[in-house]
Amino acid sequence: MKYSIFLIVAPLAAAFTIPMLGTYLPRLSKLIAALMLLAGTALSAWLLTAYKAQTVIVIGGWMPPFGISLHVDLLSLISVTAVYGATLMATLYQLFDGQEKKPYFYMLILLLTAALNGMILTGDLFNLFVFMEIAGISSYALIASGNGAAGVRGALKYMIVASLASVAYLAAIAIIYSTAGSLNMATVASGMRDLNPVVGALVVLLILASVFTEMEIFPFNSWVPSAYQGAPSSVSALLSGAVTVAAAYVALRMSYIVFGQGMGDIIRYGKFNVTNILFWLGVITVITGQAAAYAQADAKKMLALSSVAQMGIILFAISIASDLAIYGIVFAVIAHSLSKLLLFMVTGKFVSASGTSHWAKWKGLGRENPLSGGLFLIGALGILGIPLFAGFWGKFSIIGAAFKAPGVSWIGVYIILAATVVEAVYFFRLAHLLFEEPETKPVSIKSSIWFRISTALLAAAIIGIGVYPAPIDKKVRKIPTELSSKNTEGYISTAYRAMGR
Amino acid sequence: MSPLFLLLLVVMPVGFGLVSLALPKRLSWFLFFFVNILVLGVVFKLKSSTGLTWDLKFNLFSTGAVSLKLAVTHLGWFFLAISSVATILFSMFSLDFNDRKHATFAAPFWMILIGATNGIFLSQSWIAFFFAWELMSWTSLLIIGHGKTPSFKAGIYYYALSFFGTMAMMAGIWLLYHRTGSWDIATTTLRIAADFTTHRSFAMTVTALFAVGFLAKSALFPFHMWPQMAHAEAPDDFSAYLSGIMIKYGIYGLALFVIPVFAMTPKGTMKIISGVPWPMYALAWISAITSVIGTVMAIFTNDMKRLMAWSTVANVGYIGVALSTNSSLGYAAALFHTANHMIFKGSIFAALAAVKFRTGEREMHKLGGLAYVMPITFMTFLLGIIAAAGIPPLSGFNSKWMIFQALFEKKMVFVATVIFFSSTGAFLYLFRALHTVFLGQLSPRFRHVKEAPMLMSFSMIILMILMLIPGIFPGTVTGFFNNILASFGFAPIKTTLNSMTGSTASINGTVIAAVFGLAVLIVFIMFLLGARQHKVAMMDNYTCGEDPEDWKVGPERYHYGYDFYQPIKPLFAWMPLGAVEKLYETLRRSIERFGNLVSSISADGSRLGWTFVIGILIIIVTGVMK
Amino acid sequence: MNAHALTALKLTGIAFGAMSLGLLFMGLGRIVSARIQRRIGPPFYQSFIDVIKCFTKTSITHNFVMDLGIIMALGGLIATAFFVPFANFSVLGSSSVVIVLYLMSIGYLGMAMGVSASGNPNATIGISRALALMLGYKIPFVMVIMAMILTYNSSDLLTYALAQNHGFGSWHIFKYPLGFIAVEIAFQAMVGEKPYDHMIAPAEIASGPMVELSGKYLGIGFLLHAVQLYVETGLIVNLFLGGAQTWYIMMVKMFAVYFTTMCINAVMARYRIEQGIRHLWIWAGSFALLQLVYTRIWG
Repeated sequence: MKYSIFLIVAPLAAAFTIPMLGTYLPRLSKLIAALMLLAGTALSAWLLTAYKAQTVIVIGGWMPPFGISLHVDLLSLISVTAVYGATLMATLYQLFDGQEKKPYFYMLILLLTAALNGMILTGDLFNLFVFMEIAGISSYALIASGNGAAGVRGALKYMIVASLASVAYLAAIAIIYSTAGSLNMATVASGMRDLNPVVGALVVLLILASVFTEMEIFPFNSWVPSAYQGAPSSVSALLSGAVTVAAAYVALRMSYIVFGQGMGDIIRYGKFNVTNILFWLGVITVITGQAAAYAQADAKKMLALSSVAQMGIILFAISIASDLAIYGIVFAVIAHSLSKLLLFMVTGKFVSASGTSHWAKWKGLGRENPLSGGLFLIGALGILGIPLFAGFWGKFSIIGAAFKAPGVSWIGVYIILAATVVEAVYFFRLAHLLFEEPETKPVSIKSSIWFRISTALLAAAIIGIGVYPAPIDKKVRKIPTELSSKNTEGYISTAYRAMGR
Repeated sequence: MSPLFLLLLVVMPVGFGLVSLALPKRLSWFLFFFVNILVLGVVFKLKSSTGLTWDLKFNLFSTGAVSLKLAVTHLGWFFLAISSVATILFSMFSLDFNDRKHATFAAPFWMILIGATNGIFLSQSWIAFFFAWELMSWTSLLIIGHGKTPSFKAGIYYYALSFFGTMAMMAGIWLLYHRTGSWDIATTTLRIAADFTTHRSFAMTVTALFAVGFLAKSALFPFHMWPQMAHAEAPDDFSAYLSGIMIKYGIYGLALFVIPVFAMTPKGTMKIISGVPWPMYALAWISAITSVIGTVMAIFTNDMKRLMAWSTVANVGYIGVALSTNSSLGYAAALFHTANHMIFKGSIFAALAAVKFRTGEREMHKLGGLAYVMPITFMTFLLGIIAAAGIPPLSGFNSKWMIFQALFEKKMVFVATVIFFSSTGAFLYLFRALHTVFLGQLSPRFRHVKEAPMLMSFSMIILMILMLIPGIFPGTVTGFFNNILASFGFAPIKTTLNSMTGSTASINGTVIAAVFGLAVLIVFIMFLLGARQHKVAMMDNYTCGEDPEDWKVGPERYHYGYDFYQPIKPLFAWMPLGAVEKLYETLRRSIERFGNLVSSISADGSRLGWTFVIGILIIIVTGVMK
Repeated sequence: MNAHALTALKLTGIAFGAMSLGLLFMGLGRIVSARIQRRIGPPFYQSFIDVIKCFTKTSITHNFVMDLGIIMALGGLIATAFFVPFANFSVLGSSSVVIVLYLMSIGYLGMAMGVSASGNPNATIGISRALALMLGYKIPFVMVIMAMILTYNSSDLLTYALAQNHGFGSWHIFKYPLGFIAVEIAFQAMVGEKPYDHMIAPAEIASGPMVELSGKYLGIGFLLHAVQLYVETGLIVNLFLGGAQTWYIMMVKMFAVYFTTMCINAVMARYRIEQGIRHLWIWAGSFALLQLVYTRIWG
């Protein structure tokens, strides 16, 4: 388990080598980047299979709550694996099928990877902030590396909103530090209880505002359409495949561990009901996301808004906070990651083949390239949650959890179910258009062997998880115990044990 | 018989379908025919294996066992049997239909659809049912769309409505599980029926959710408008399957879950209107309205395929009315009409497909007189509409009679009046279809049209036989019903090979057929004894001494085929037809406008700061709410 | 085997009996019409002569569908006649009114098919009007029948006839007065006499369906009308006028119904088709609906 530190450090180190190596040996530096990501994926997968129990890794010899610690548990390992996998796929896609990019592009990807993994593995709030900033800056640059003005516009929008988010988060940290005296998540968790409820509510408000920006929740997600559209397809894939995973993870951690001191009942600070916030914002995001996606004429924006809606569903599930909901969240995040990767990769090909990202102009592309069309269909089925495809288990569990929970979750479920109908319409709309008879003969798509391998792997994974979810299920089952507050296996107990209390 | 055969019935067609994605078109249609033969064989071997179960239980999310259970029940086997018989004939038809000129890519998806259909009829756990249901939905969407833009608009309308129903069903399934702890269909039906005494609103909610799902799939009001769009655009040979079998999934669902729930509800728990629980009475009126809408729209439409699609909607209305009587006669009548409708509607669409195949003409009112050159197709269509109109001695009469008997038993006379109106109206549009395509003047363009190819003709002949047999010998179909009725706690119906007994009378199908035959014989002898007849040309008509050719009216224009019932159109002007379609369109447009509004928030960069502030406000508001 | 042959013989007898009775009525009806219009009119056996003459003349046909249709039409109507009880006597034992109503449709369908196949649009227009009119009169008719089914819990015509055999007061015309009015109006349309003779519509569409019929086809057309008269007047007598115990009373009652029809026919003009249907629905329909509501709630 102690090798988890390499998950963050290795890409960071590799990133530093690229500026020097890149000027003289660009091909080598890009190769190093890809290999580093491959190694990272392998390492995280191995750690996942070898996982026994939660571990706290202390950095630099300073014991928490003064020093920084990493907290490795099942949820974080799964998220890290997902992030690495997504980043690897996106990088390979850009390397072999995308535009020729300078080595700095790959350096940014490595930085982003390191930052995202740092966000996931860390046990300290300020550390989280630092990594969030690194992730942010690399994202801005990555988005801006896209097609001219659109990329810059998207990056600027993201930067503006994310800066506001950072300020909010920093303010929250300041308040916490001045009252709790530490920024270690476990310590803060118990400290939050002793705060004046109004101050506690303020802290929650600020942190949520910043987390929601990263997680693309309405109305903090105004940056999303322009950013996804302006970025190159691989970066869009990265954003929905990796960044959303990390953002969802952070939201979950914050809600259960920091605010709630373990997964369990409704989180309250005086009259301030945090669970309600998560619930309603999730639902609103779903509604606005699906409606906006339906009205979109641009394919990349459409996929982006679909991601927004998925995040809304996940936030809704976080608010339910039951075992079934956790299963649903993990499956939904994994399925979303896989499917969106596939969709963005295929869409990227369509964009380059037809020269436009307006999906109405893609008529008949699937007829000419039946494999790509079929892959799009598989990706769409994965997102929609059709049985026998990966997304089903996630949606299924979340709906089940919502009906089991007392209270008004049922309103949310019905709204989400109705919104899914809209989602089905706009996905099938596009999937079918690809196969319709075109007026002029469409372009044949050329793809590299890596594209075919990656997409085949993704499609196989989507169908495989859909048909046989058992391997993932075995792992997922242990997560609720690790998150709950009511036993000694929980996050907080483990953290305190490591601190020697 | 090994339970694996059940799994095979579902997985084998799906597997073959996936394989045939890589095959050339012609070959895939051969494979399709072959798969259907296999399915038919297995289904008939399963005839005596009621109770055979295949169950896959696995632990997921430690909520307990998720079970994928397939089992042979009486109801399920009946539906399997009639659909596989109908499908084998359609697939035989399709083999000739999909020659080099007309072939479509539908075969692989149709095979997957067959697997899904088998899954639906075999599933005895809600999860398995849901799996099969969803698989059926999206594969049928792809077939209906089949690569053409207008077809897809029709298909997505259908899919949106049916997906809405499916989502309602998903909610219902979870509510059922949380309440009963079981995924098993039979168990949950019993529990919910019992719940009507203690948890009334919960039971109503669950039943309503399922009912919405099944209503949407079976095109009952307010979901009645999708068949006419889908049929007009779907591949011609698939229309037979669409109308014959796909509409019946919702009916199967109603017969499997909703009706038994109300039948098993203890007496006195629900308010009774006219002898049936009030939700059933509501269903009766919904079905009756559906029937009327279908009939009136069919009377005035000019497209033959749309006409027949509306006719299907009307027929589903009859079936719905029969089910709503909550009695053994009604249930049996519904099953009977389902089986008959499959065959006669299938024959009608097959005949239309044959016509389209030979003439290439899509606008049916430009046809006419094809009976003289395509006699077998004509006879199939004729028997089809006779059965559809419910005229003895064909199968349609027996099932319609039974429906009326069920209604009389419950004294639901107003519903019966509406159904009778619909039934009489059926006569109008059915005859119009017959005349427009097959009678009247033959256009010179089609004078050299040949009869349908051999396999198509052969399948049509068998369909004709299948329309005659249940009419003359009702027992061949009704014999299956008493087992099915018993499995849901209904009393058996009195039926023999030749006769059926209803609530106010009993009829003998063989006797009716025999006397009809005798009467025709008498007239035929009189006909032969009369003086001989000359055959004259078609255009050699009484025209008051004028010659139509003088005004450039050739055979093509001398055919009364368009806007057939135009004089009586004003009579129906007061009906708000199309109101529901307008409602859906308004809904769709509102979603689009709302989406555009949301997008506009993010479009302008200058508002970014404001979105953040408003977001914080929303967080505060939702935090202090309630 | 012998029993079946005997039944077949009896049925054949009924077939010819129905046809003859109908032709007789038609002849008498023409005299009634003539006398109202202050003419002498043809002899009462005129229709017989007409039919026989038709069968002896050569005819034209356009195609096999025409032959098939006409034969099917008369066959269907004769089959219907088998099910109408005549003087409490029903060969086949069961005579469900639903069978009668639906079996009559074969007659309609066969004729429609046969004459449409002749290729003359006038015929088809006549058929379309006739079918539309059918929608108009069938609904009130069926509503009244359903009232009776509610009361007797049976749809058997023989049951209705037998129930009315107890003297004048038991006749349904007094027990279901509103229903009888509705049925009378609908009956006028059923037989196709003015003001509802849209199907034939002599001055408008050149006799409609009959336009291409000649020789034996025309003969069969006549017989169609004859048997239709037999069936429909028989229906009314069994439903409302007490049935009959002897054959001559039956004939008299049946003719009485037809007499009324011909009187109305002689003095009225034809409605337009949409007017006709509307009047049927509004007038016959409301009486029938009232009858049905009354029987359902209080009956």
